[in-house]
Amino acid sequence: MNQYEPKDALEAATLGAYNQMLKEAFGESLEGPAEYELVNLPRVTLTKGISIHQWVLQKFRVGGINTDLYALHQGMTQGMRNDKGIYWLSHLGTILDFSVPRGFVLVRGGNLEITPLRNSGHQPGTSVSSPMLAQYIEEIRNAKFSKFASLANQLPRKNKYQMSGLNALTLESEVNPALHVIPRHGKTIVTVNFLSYIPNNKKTKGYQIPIPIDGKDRKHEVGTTYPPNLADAYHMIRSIQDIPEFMKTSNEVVAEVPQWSDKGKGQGADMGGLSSFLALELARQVYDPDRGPLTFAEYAARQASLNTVIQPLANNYGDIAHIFDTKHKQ
Amino acid sequence: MGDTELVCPHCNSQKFKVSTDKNRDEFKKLKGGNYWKPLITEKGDDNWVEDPNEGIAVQCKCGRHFFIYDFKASTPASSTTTMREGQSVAAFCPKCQAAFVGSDLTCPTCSQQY
Repeated sequence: MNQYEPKDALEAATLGAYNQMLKEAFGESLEGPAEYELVNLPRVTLTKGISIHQWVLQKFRVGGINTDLYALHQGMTQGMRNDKGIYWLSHLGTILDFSVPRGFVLVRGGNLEITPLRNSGHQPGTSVSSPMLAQYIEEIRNAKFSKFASLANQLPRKNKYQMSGLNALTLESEVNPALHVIPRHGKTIVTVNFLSYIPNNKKTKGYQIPIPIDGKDRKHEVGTTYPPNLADAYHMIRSIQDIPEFMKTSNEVVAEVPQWSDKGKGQGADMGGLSSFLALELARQVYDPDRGPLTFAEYAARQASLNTVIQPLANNYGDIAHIFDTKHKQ
Repeated sequence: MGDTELVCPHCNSQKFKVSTDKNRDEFKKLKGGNYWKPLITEKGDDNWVEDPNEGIAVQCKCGRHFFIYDFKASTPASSTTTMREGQSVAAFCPKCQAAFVGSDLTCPTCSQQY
């Protein structure tokens, strides 16, 4: 990943908004400009019901910590009108670079509790565990005294900002956005579902950036993650990231892929783009290690389902149905 | 049958009674102390279980932990102050306001022993 050179005004404006957000979140502790991998930047056309998605992977460093942090953003346009559009950017998650074993835990907001993710197919029995899971449970058991729990509880939830709701990040997050810790697939994904700037009662909270499109200067209201939320969540995540060496597991990949929830299939196990992308990439590492890493472009270009992307990756390996078997088998 | 009376190896005064299943080699219950919890036992790469039959950690009222193993139907269980290899347990350090996981119960931040 390199410093991305924006190709046009829209891209420049978009990156500008992300950079602005990081600056506001971290101030002077931010080290240098963030790097980006961009995909599918919106080509805005003025048709009815426009909804253009964009994925941005942002890599940044804060405060002399030798860990690259990744933020995955999803942006979409909504409610494009003649000369005005609203452009949402939402922070979807922060990927940490340590790994823990598969298993599932969801740390919910409010009364901090751990529940297996519903419909995930990953509902471990009480005996399936991991050191990290045990640590989280211990923090929450002692929530009254735990720094971690108090930080988690400070994360803003329903307030004057509406939650982004861009993506079924987790089903629960729709109700109660908070911190989700999802150890699986050899990577721990800590997603923090932020409340974002979005227009509320016709008042826009976000940055306003004029963006020329098709020769016309359109005013876009760019909404981003509320920077203080990003900073809070980041520091909270840091507080649990310094785990002892022995707790880290090998990077061996467990080729289990969450099922993409097709329309009409009900709630499914759609963990949202973040984890399904990661899952795909991990599956690629297993099935086609010589192939280059999956890019967001390929991911975003998937047509019908996860299957259509993963099948070519796995075609030399026979039946891949087991990958999509979300039932946890012992 | 199946019951073992133990004394906390740290304070040598608090009494515990551990019961095993009468027919199978399984942990059944523990009386005494603040709490007990199963140890985290590593079964392989990325594979841990919390199974009381693999051993439990007990916190005595004196504040220290010890471990109980070998839940047999016919022979008494044994207590020890050290965990077996490949095992760990989570604890909470009120001083540091943080949980930790370790193979001995020493807070990695302040070195307090639990």
